[in-house]
Amino acid sequence: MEIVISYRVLCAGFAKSEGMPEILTSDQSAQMTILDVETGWPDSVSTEESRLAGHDVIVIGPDEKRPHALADSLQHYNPTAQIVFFLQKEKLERFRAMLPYIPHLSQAWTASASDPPEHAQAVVFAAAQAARQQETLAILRDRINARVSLDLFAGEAQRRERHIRLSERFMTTVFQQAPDSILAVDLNGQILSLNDAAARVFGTANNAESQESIFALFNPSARDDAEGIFDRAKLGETIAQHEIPMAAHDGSLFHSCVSLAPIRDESDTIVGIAMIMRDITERKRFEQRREILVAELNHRVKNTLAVVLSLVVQTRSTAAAPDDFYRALVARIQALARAHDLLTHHDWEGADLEQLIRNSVAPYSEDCCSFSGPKVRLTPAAAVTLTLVFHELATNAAKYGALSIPGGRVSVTWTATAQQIELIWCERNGPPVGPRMRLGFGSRLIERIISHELDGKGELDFEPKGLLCRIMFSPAEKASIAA
Amino acid sequence: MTRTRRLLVVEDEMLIAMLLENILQELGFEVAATVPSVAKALKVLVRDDAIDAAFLDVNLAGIKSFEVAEELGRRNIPYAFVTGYGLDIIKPSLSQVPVVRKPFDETAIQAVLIQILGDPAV
Repeated sequence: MEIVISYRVLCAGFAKSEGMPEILTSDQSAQMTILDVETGWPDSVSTEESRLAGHDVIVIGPDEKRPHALADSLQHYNPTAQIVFFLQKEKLERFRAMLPYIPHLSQAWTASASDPPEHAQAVVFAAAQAARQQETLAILRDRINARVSLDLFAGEAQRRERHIRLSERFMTTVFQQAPDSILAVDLNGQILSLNDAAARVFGTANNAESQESIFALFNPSARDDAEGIFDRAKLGETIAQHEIPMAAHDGSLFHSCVSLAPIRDESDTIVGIAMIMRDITERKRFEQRREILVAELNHRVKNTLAVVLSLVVQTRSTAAAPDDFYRALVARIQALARAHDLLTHHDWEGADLEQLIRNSVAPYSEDCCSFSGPKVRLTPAAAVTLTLVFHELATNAAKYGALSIPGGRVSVTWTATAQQIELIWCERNGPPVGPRMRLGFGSRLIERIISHELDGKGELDFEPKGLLCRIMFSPAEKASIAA
Repeated sequence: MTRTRRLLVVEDEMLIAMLLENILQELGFEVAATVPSVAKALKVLVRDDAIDAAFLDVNLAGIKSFEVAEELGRRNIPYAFVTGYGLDIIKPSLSQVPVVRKPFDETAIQAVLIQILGDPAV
């Protein structure tokens, strides 16, 4: 084994002159570059890049607040260097426990500031030797590649090392880039490591200083549930897709789905728990919306069936013969269907009043009708009500009124203000008006439905020269007048 | 001979209200009033103190009729809900109130009337 005679050390994160740099100055074989705490970050000394590169060991001192991040950035200039974290004794245990869960730092060394100086020196020396060994191995490999014709052997060794490195990079990338939050915790529930997604949700930095418990991330009401699933994972169970409410760093509560899996060491002892968490708030919202929609649909269907049932009963009570009953019922159900078309029209801008009236008389003789009034757009509720009303007026006119004989006329006129819409249906030149309709369902419906559903008034006047129907209602909320 | 009992119908859809009126009249009741909204139902209760029972549609154009239900409760007037929704739409404090499910027929109405007013034959 080659003995290291001299090695280059990069020190950063030491606020005081005592401590590690001093220990190393007493070691004649160590050549040191010291970055002080203020200027320790490479971006502030970028002009001195040559000063940052070419080291065997990087020592991160106890005064650096973000030791992981500093190690990361210095490693960028010294890709083959070994890393030593030199920490206060109180922090050392936790930090050591955490390192295996941070893929790119899992090989780092640690030393305690309160250990005897020889011990710390020995750690740095061992790290230097490891770095040199790696270098030596690399040189040896190159030589073997160059001299030995057994490329296969050398190539295979290189490939294997590359595979290991790639696999580690792959794990790191997956861990950091995963859209789900991934956290590692120890058996007491202390967070050891978390990925970027988790840091964003919980606002916790991925550093050794945080002493945060995983249970603080759950909705307080779900604490028992959270402890329960962690206890099960500690006993070796894998928990898949458990729904539980959590609390984000801004205090907002959200629905999550967590999976837990025990982490085992080489002796198969459980040493920690890995947790994967997915925010399922959107999915929950969608499910709730769907439930509301299904309930609403069910209600609408039941309501519509009740309306149809009512039409059956009312039509039966006024129809003279089974055939009349059948025809009247079918026409009424069709009018109701037309009204529902208006309710579910895709780009609803309100139904046009004139069009609605024209549709009602269309099955009879539209030519004998005149329509006159301003453009009025009706709300769905008003449109449904008026569809039923004009169906009754039109069928009555076709059976007994002005549309039942040639030469009969129906004129529909309306006026609209912001306060009131007033419609007049006027029949002329028809047969003399008899009392027949007065008792019918249609007249009862017209007289009652306008006041009941539109808070207005529907009046029928059975004048001998022709039926006159006056309808008044307020457009407020029920209809609107187009500008 | 006892007087004809007078009922209040609270239902926003006229056609359904008319069906209920028909059934009630056929069963020998008088419909004291038919109203489409909470406000109008409360007005009827203030004006008319001789109402014997009521049928309350739960959803009146998007507004729940629970306020009317509670007023009926205060006045000790028996009533039943009418709804096309599931029973879970009714708030827990009113869960003991009998419910007629839409679409309903004469038998369903008669059964619930016996439940809230007692059997007229007894």
